[in-house]
Amino acid sequence: MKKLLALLTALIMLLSAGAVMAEEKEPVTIRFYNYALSETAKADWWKNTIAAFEAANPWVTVESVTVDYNSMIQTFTNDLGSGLSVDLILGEVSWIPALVEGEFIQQPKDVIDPDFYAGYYDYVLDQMYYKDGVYAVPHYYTNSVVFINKDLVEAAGMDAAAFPDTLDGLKAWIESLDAFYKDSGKVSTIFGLTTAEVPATGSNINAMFTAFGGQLLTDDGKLADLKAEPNATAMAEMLDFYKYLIGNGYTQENLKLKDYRAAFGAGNVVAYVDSSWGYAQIGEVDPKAAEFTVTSFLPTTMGTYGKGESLVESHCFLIGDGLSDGQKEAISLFIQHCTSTENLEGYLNNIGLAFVAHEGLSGCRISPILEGAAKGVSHVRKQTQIGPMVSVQKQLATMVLDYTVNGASMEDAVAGYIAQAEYYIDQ
Amino acid sequence: MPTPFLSKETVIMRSASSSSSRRFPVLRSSRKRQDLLFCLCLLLPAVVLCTAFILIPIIDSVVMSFTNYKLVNLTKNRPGEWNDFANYTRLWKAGKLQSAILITGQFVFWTVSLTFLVSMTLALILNTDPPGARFLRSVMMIPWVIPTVITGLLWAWIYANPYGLVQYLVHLFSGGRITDFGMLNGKGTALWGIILAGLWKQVPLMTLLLLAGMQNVPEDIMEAARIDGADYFTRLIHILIPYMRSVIAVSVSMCIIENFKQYPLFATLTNGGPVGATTTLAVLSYDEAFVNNNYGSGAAVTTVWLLVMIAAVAVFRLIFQRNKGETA
Repeated sequence: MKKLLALLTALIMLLSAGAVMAEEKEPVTIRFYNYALSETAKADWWKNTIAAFEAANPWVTVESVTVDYNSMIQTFTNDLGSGLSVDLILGEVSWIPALVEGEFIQQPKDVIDPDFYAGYYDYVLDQMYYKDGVYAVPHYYTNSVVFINKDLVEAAGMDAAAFPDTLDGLKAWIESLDAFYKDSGKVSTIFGLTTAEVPATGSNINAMFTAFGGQLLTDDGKLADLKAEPNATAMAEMLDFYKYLIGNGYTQENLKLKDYRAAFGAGNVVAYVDSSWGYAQIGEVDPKAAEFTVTSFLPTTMGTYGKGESLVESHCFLIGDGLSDGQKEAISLFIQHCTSTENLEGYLNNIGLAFVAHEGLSGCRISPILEGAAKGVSHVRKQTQIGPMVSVQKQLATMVLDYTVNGASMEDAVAGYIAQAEYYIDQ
Repeated sequence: MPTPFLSKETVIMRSASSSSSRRFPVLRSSRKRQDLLFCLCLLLPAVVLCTAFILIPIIDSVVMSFTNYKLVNLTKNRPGEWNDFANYTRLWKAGKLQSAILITGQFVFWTVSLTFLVSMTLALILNTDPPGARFLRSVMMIPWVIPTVITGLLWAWIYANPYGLVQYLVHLFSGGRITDFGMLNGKGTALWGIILAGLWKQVPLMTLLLLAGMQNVPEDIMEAARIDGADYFTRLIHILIPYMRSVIAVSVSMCIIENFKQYPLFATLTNGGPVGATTTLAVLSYDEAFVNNNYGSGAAVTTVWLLVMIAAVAVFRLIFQRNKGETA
């Protein structure tokens, strides 16, 4: 009897061990290209998040590849060419066309758990549509945010919370502040708009054009007719607004966003337009900047046709092609892990201020700094993505400078822009 | 005919060898072959390296310039699709190539000319061994030692509007009338802003090269000319500069090449702007290849860039050789 019991026990143990063995997953490795790891504040968050994920999923190894932001596309292009795999990328919306054309990313709907995928806000996912589908999922996003130095506005006897909601109101607001600070030497910029000829500026100007009621590209990826309405009026009103700001010294020409961030942090800028995560650099200049920083969305009446709509900018996950089933499952779990309230809330409040893009994060606390801008958070318009997006947008800065600084007529500046944009689009 | 400087044994050996070679031509050709093989062995590493790392990439780039070569060709190792001169004609029709050649030419001409003039002046001053010359020689090397990207960032701060040093000086000397002078913001001034930064970076090296050449000019000839009544400029034009010809040729050629391939200063200071006023061939090539991911078009610009640079150096050498002939 004892022998029989011992035999049965051994048999049960053998079977249960077999069941455990069957549940164990084959180890997989994800090569994750992440420029945020080269930025001190973000690097710690990513390292901790990845470590926590690996601890919870011991069958997955996340092999981080740290690449400088400006070298990202070149690095994984070279790596792919030399036979290395690129499984997951932390990237930007503007990279999508190039990576799709390069045939090395796939649609996330084929990888991510369908229930989780369904939770992304449509108006954010729409921004990641290229050719035949959505090619990225957002980690978080931003619209155009007006950063306002509350102390400077209040010192001029005005209410920082009462940001104007019309273009005329905005001009009157700017002029009142200028009259107060004109000879004080304390303030360099009343209302900053970037015009340096760099990609981030191009995207910012495109957002301003959208706010004025214009649409730069047609749905099929061609340059929209900028001489037809409402684009012609939107373009003219936008260019005149830039000329008004630069000509009167309310903003400086040829400054980058990072210049405004530094000057805002130093307390020399009353207000300027940026992405929400621009606050990271403001905070580097003055760690107590939160005490004087408030935000707003753009006026809802901008000229004849403008409703103050924004374009979406997002830091997003792009998923490599040719993954094994195990890697797909691991990436799906990893994206869900990174996009959970538990993990993302601290990041969105302390490291990179932004808005959530998934309904699962609806309970996630947003930074009090973004309270004002949050009211216009879904007031966005879809932007068609094209391969040469960076150059087509960058040329907008050239056009603005040509008209505002170099004395070109509006017709010549716009005609010059159309010629350059078509050169890039038709290549 | 044996020379009186050779020992008797050497003369005997040579004449024996020479007579044996005459008597045995096979022996002579065998030695020649051995010498030739030895020369080839010495040359082989240089030839292999130059072929692998210079010649093949250049040929590859030239071939690529005649193809439609995009990101997918690179990542999937697909050959580019031959498109004849489409990359060149597209760039030409858009006016980008002509504009970039012109701006590159202007930049190289002014930077090289001014670098040479300033360096020569400084070298002449330092050659008189003024007090503190050794200290000056050490200090003036600092700009040359600083990486070009850092130089660019440094000058970006100097030119910054409205907080830069240049803006401050313009404001000061204009009696407060000019309040928003942005050197890099205007189409007419941006290139000069970069030329100035380039001068700051390149003058020290050329000064030291010219100074080294100057110090090799025989003092007795200069002294003789002085005794004969030659004034300073006569000695400079007819003795000093002709003696320094090889140093000048090398340093100016290096400066031409250095400025033709100048990219970091443009990238950090203007990125080709404003309104394309500083888009040189280097900037255009980078934008086409790495911003627009059109490698074929980028290679077309690079090919033109290479040809223009070769032509510029050749013209300089030609002019220099002709002057050499005239002086001789």
